[in-house]
Amino acid sequence: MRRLLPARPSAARLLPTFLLAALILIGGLASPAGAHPMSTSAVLLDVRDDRVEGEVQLPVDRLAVAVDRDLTRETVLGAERAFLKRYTAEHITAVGEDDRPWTVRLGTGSVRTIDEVAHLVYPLELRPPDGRVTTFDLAYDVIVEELLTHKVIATVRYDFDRGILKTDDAETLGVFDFDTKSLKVPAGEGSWIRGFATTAGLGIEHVGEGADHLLFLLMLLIPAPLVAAGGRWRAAPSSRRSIVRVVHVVTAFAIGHSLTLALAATGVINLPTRPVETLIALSIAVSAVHALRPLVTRGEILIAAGFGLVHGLAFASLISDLGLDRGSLVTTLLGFNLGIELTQLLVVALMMPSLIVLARTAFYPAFRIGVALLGLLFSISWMLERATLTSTDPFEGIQTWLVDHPLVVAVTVAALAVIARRTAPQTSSDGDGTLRAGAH
Amino acid sequence: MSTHSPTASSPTALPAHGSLPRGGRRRRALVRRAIALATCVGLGVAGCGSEDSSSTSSEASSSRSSSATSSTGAGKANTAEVVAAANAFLTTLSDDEKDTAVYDFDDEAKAKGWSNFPTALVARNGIEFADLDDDQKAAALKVMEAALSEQGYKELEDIRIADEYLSEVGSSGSGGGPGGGDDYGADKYYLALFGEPSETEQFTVQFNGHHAGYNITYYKDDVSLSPTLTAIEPSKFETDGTSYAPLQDKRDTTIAAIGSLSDSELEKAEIDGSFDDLLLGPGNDGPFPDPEGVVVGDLSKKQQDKVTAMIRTWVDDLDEEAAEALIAKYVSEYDETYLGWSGATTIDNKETYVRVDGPSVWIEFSNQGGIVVDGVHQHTIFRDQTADYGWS
Repeated sequence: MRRLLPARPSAARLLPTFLLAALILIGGLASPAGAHPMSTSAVLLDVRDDRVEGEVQLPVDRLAVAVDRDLTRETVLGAERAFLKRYTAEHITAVGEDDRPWTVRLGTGSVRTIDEVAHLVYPLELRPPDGRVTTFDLAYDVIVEELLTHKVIATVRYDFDRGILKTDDAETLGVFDFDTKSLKVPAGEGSWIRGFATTAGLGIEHVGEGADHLLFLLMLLIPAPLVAAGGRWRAAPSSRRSIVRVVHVVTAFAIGHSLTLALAATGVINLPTRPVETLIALSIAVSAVHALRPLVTRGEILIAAGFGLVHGLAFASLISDLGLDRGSLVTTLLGFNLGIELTQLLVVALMMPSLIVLARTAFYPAFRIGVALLGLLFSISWMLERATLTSTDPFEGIQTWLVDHPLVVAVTVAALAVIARRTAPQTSSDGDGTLRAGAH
Repeated sequence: MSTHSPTASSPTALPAHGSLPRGGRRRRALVRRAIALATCVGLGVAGCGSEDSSSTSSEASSSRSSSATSSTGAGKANTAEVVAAANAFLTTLSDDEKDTAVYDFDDEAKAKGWSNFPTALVARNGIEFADLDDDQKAAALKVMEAALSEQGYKELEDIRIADEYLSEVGSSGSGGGPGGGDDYGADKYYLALFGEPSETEQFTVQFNGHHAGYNITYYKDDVSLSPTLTAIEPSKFETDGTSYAPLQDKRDTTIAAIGSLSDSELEKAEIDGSFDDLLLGPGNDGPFPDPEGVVVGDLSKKQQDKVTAMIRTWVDDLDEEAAEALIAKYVSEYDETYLGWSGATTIDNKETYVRVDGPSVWIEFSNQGGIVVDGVHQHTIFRDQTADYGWS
């Protein structure tokens, strides 16, 4: 008999296993029902004000077992089309809280490959008789009425008033199986405040985890405590002046991106993603060059406003993925923008005091040039990658680490400021200016 | 991969380094998706064995105590041997490793942290063989050797070899399923203890990887093998010059039992609905459905013997003496025990599904299409409806 000697797998091979295992542990540790990786059905619901939309995904091979017919990708849309639609519709009912049945309508079926398995997909529409969506019971036993081992995972993909948007935070409702043929769908609950809070959270997340937006902001902040004079940077005459300039920069950026965000989200303008992303990388490069040497007087405000327009387009592409109702669009825009501004202000609050202190020391030119060169390097790498000139970004690891550890970055800069303040000579300008001892 | 994620993207596609420098967001999305998935399947797991406590049995052993636990076991368990082996295993572990391996007896993880999905998909309870050195591993296997009969332990070893075989042939991927062969392996097995090993208090030995999952609970001299999954892919294979056919006894006796039915009995024995897998496999701990099939007590002596032979191939995996006592108990319940089938009754048909359902015994035998390699393979589960995961 063969011996089962321990073959210690390399750590690298096990890493994905551990990661996934950890994720599932975080998720509360539950085992997918069933046995082998096996195709399941899915019901996805979008709860609107006057109706519930969504779709039904039926694995073709399981459907074939359930209806006891040979089915292929072709026949489910051909010879068997009418039969399957009737069969499916017969096994879905919805009843409101007042015990009145809702109308169930299936759209035109199509075949889609999901998790490597062919699925027959029907758009689904459930309408309450009085046009008012309340909590309802969804009874569903397509396939599982015959194939008792089958599982149907039901998910609420969109319900604005409950803070569920079409991003990744779909809420699982439950699983239909041989024993569970009906699930209660909570709807008509919550309020627009939940949706507003969720979109604000998305705004915070989007900026807070987007290395490109943060880097752009940082590049604009670096020259803010300085003034351009004769094609060079000099220390601003006062801290107050620096603060005013920061406010200008942040406001200009906010106006710029809010404008295009609103226009793009309402569909007035529509630009493809990739050029926008490439332009964002360019915006960082331009602001980095400006931080090295002033391009024009007050250039950072022009750059903030101008490229703010581009960043707004990127924000809008996220909003368009949320599957919004017309009614909730304004709430979403406001919420999302609020999140973005809050994050920006947080970055400013974390970085600016240190920068203002640093700017008064002889160390600042080296710091400014170093950070600007780094920003330039990152942005060029992004530009090449986003314009598909290169396939990977060699700096992605560093960027991800920096973005994931904002406090470490802020504390490091603050520590630098303290050290520089104590050791480096104080200057009144960012170069060869005269000493302004005792100014603070 | 296995289950629908609500956003319909497969876990395999997720770790890709995308074009935009926002890995953090993508990762968080993945976490959220995993949570959603875990939550949803969590909901699918009904309260396990909650009705067990009320069951009684005339043959319940002397072990019934004045404590809250009421055992329905048949006695004769080699509890002392298993406790000794389990303690010997624990002494090979560091404190940290012990923390990983030992749980409270009633920890909810017990029912959730075992599966026959790839270990990457469902995190397992306990300590992984891959993390053990030779001595620790040998001590871990000694626990299973003590708990199982000679043939039961050989079957476990053969199933592990089959998993190793899958990992070797799996990369060529001739099977139709989404599970890759390298998801499996002889060392992707875990041992967990629920409760400290004890001759007076309940504890469960949980051993699980891919095609073998044992939950063996001891309470004084009672033992329950419920639930225990034994499965195999491929049914027969050859590796390193040796031929293997684990579960051959289970295949033979099951087909013999259902094959002994006359046409009219077969008609009566047919269970409504189709089954492409175990109904009450890992993660599906109930409820037990209403019984369907023919009453075994109504069959001829010869037919009943075939059913007993079938039940025996599952119960016999347990240490010999305790197994005999349990089989006697299950046979005594034949007047309320049902034999049923669905799909087909031949060994080479992937729709073949056979079930034995008594007041205590529950066996499912389900043929499967090839996942990693072509051809039919089997999933089976044994449960004792009065002692699932032990007694409450």
